[in-house]
Amino acid sequence: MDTLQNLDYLFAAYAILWVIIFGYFFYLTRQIGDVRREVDALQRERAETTVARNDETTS
Amino acid sequence: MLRSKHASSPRRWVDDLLGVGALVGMVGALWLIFVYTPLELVQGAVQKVFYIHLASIWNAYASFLLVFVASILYLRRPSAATDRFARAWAEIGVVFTTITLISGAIWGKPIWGTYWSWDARLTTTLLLWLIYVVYLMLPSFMDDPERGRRYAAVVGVIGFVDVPIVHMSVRWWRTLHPDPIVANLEGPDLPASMWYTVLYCIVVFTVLAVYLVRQRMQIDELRATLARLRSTAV
Repeated sequence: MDTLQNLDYLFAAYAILWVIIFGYFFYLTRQIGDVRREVDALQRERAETTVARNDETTS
Repeated sequence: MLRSKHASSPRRWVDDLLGVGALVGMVGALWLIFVYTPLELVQGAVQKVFYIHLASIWNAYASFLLVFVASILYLRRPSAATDRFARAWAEIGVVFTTITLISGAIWGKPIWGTYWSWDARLTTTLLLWLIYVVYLMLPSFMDDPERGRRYAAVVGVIGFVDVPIVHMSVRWWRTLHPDPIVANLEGPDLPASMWYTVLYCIVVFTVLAVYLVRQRMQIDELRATLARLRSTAV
């Protein structure tokens, strides 16, 4: 067998490896970003409600 | 790398270190595979798939071993942290088993003349992949999440039985797949440059796996925080 034969198979294997790893990495990044935004929004909402209640109590 | 203002700074520092280490390590692995190691005389260039194929299945085995241990711990004393740990490693194990199956199929085509054969090694590896896909999907099928997690833990324990079967399948049955050339009793049957590259790839893939698992666990931790915030009345 010619030693440099089948380079396309080699290329395909490494390309798929990088696609799977980076695809999974970006999937995780997106998930973390989405959930974190929800947590931040809820925490902000809670903080604003607490401040508004405190203002009501003091006035 | 992922920035987290929720995560404490030592944790972020470890995440960044692991992420950069994995990326630099992967580039180093490519140099070793394509420049440092010699071309195999019989199979030629396509034999270089071997390095990612072996490092991937090693990581899958290690991931499923951790799922097995965490599942036993969960069944003895259920805890959210143990469940998160087991699920994260199961997901990483499935990712690496997917890479193993695909890289093996691509390697098999020019060498065996087919992408797939229902022989013992390939079939038991596909079964391994299916077991842990079921493990990951099981809690979402159940009305009671607690019961779903318990059933998943049972699958995590029983499913691990397939790991030694996959490894020994080439010895127990006649298969297209070659015998183990690294993990055998006589020691690795490889030239030194190939052996060092295999070891290096295993270490780099392990660093990558740890990094990805930490990110995966962070998602579940954030979801738990979100659920807590939603359930507490203002």
